Amino acid sequence: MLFRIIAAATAVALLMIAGCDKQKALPVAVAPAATRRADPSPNVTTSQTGGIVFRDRTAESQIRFTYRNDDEHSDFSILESLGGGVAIFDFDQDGRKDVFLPGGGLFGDRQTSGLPSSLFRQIADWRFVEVTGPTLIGPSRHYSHGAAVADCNEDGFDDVLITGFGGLTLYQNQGDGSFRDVTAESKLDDRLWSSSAAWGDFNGDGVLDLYVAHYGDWSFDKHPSCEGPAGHPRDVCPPRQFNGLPDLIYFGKGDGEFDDATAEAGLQPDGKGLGVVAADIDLDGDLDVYVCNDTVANFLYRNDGRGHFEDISLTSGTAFSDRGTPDGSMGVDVGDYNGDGLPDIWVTNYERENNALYRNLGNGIFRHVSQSMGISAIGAMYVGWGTRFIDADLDGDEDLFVSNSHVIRFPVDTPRFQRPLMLENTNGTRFVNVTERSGEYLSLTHAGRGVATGDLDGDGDEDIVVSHVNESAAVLSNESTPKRNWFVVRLIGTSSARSAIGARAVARIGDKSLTRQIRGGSSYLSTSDKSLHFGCDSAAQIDELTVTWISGGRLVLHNIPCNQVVTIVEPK
Amino acid sequence: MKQSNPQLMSAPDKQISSARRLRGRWWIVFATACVTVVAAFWLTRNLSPENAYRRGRAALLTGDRETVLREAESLIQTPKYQSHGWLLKGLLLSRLGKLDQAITYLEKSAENESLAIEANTVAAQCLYQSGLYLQAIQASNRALERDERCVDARRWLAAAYYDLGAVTNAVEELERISVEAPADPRPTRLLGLIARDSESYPDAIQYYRESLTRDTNQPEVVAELAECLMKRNQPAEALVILGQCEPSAVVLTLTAECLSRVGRLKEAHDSLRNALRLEPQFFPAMLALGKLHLDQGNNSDALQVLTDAVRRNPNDSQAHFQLSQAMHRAGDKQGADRELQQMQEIQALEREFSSLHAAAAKEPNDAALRFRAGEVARQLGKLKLARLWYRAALAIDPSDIKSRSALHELDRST
Repeated sequence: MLFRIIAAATAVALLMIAGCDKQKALPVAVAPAATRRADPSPNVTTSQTGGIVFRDRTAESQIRFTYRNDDEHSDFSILESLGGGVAIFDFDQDGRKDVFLPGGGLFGDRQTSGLPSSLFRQIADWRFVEVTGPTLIGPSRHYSHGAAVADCNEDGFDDVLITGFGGLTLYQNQGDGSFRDVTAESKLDDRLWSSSAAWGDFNGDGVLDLYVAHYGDWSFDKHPSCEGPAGHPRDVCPPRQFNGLPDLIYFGKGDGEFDDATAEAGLQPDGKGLGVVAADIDLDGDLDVYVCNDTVANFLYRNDGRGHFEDISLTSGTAFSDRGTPDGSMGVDVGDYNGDGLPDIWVTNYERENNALYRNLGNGIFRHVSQSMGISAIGAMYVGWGTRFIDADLDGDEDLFVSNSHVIRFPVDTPRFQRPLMLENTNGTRFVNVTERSGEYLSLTHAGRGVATGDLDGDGDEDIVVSHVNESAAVLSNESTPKRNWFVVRLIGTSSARSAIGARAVARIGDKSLTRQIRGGSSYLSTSDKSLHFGCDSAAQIDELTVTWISGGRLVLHNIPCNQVVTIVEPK
Repeated sequence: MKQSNPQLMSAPDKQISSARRLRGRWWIVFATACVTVVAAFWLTRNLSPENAYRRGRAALLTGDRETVLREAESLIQTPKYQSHGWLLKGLLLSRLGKLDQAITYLEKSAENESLAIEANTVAAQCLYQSGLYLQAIQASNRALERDERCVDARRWLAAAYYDLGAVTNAVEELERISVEAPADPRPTRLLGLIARDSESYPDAIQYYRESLTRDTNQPEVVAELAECLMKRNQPAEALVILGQCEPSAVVLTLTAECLSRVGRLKEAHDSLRNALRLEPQFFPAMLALGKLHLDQGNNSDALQVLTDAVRRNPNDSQAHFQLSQAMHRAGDKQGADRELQQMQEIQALEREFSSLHAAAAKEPNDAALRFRAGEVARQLGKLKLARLWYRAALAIDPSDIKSRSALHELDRST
């Protein structure tokens, strides 16, 4: 904020002193799934300073993809700054995670067009083949940004929603290896500039609903020319030049159609939404929503269980920075960093602002703890985007990964291309920046945007895929050492929507409780695999696993050996 | 000695006697002539306009007003030296704070080309001090047109630009002053302050470092540098620098913030306590201590400290925000909502003020914009700034009644 704080006298003295069908209801089952590459003899250690390392396997993976924003067209539009996301999901249910990447777009004569998205099918560990053509998911009607994935028609196969400038596109997974564009018939007729979206059953009817975050009111008719720094006559305009757009919420009807329920949901009339996450943040059995807004207050919507929301961001302390000022917020995730069982909120922000870790104190109250958790010390010189809580070193606490890079072309204070961040959680007491020693990808600068996590090689730990702007997407293999024990649980809803968004699993290992929750949305423009990962450290088993579905259903299991993937179907 | 009787003298004797008389007279004539010449020389020398001017200048330096005034008046009566007299009188009046009169004489004396640089420079100073920034800029420029290396004229030019809110122009001039006066630490310090105000911390750090290279004995600049390093998230480096400063409330509060950032919360707490021991009502320390209590879960302590902080500075949005957080935690929802409401009202003003500031930098001749900035600054309790903006508005439009009466009201109330 510009403040002219020097009095005239000072100056003088200084100078002169002198749509979703519910078809399948799978039986209640606890089915240990075969792991593809489980390490049979993990090297166990209790060290808190294990080496988190991610190896760049992009070349090996054959994922050759670059999100294009067409900045070479020199429109200097704010549209070019958002970039794209990534989704990790098993589209063909063959047990291997696949990767979907929205393609971006092009500028034309006062119009934009979409570049095709790409779907990469994993055929062997770290070997992908592009199947965009045969699956028919490529065409993009709009300049695209995000990918929100969930099984919205409850057929056991994940569907893909693509966000972007001018509209949404919903691709329904046909289960036969192909997708069908069902946007029109689903009545997702949003025409605004959408960024991130989050699936979730907001009104508790067992059918997935959709929250769509909208950004600013940019158009070719509202396209100011903004001066760049010295030597650059023009640059991308800052977000303050544009008014925010209202977010939208669609309630699924269960017949494949959606109703615009924004008015009845009680959403705020403005905002500049970028990241969104749906999770049961107050643990009252319904899905709440947190929205990252750019340069204006963030929203924390508390759900009354019927899909009516109250924005409690101001009173909860999650609207602003620790100084009470709005941040330029982009990415978001929900996790329990300190193991107290309460979902905390993590938000990535613009340069000169600290990324915000809001500790959940219960009763709808949060505390901005970035400073005391060592996050402020990392530096505020990053422009943060996609992010995920990820127990990278499998020691039981959730670490953080953040992709960074600037939004404008000619930044003055910080570089345009920036290094990502890997923050190691030291038992919930502090985060330590271990980026330097976390592998080559993390030691280099990138134009990072969307981030998704998922166990691509089935070895029990989560890997990462990052989408960049005009730079190849990166596929990162988690090769942290020493290799610790792990446990993965996949939840399938029955009374709840099949994607089980909002379901929570609490693993008790000795005197520690690890809480994980399936989130809708999260990160930025991206969707991560919905399996819940637990780092067991040296423990051989989970003493007790309690699963609570968003419908209220609950299941408790005891003495489950680690190093396996367990699929749990919600008891009816 | 032999006495002679003139009546008894012979003719040759008479001739000799006459010659002696003549010789005696010649000496008288000679002596008289010498005295006359010396007197004439002395008079010429001392009564010359140049000497009068010189004496006037010397008297200015010693503060001998009467001599300055006498010499100035005599010069004003001397043909061809009137402008020197006006300059002397203008310089004297400017030192006496009689700025209007000084400007009149200085402007008259500036018509003499040989005096124009100094006359315009001092006129620029008087105009600046009178709040006539536009005219100060014109006078400075007249001096600089004649000598672009006149650093003093450039200083007043920079000051006038700065106070008009034309920060970009001010920075340009300050950069030049910094080059032309390479031993002077002040221009780089002001550049540092300007960069800090616009949150250009890397630039600010560079300017402050340069200023400290020119003069290491500037404790306030060291503290400002430390603050910028902290803002750049270089708390360890800031701590080293702050460790070299005399402990003051400012230094101890900055130290506490750096310590908090590196997780040394106990030491941060101690540092803030020490700051408040030195200055019990030091608002930044009160606010920081309140935040620290909140971070550490000491809600009742936080409530107490933050309530005091809000009382101390009711126009600080952060204090209201932190207090609202503490109240919310304490279950006082009504109080928390009230504080949030106040925070939002203040933030709206802060945003408007920030926009006005940026707009003023681009619109150096917009008086209405400056009047509004003054009004907003006043609402934010920043009275010095309000005065500054009202004066800037008046400098652009002296007939601006609103700014004049606001300034008058401000002067009366303070």
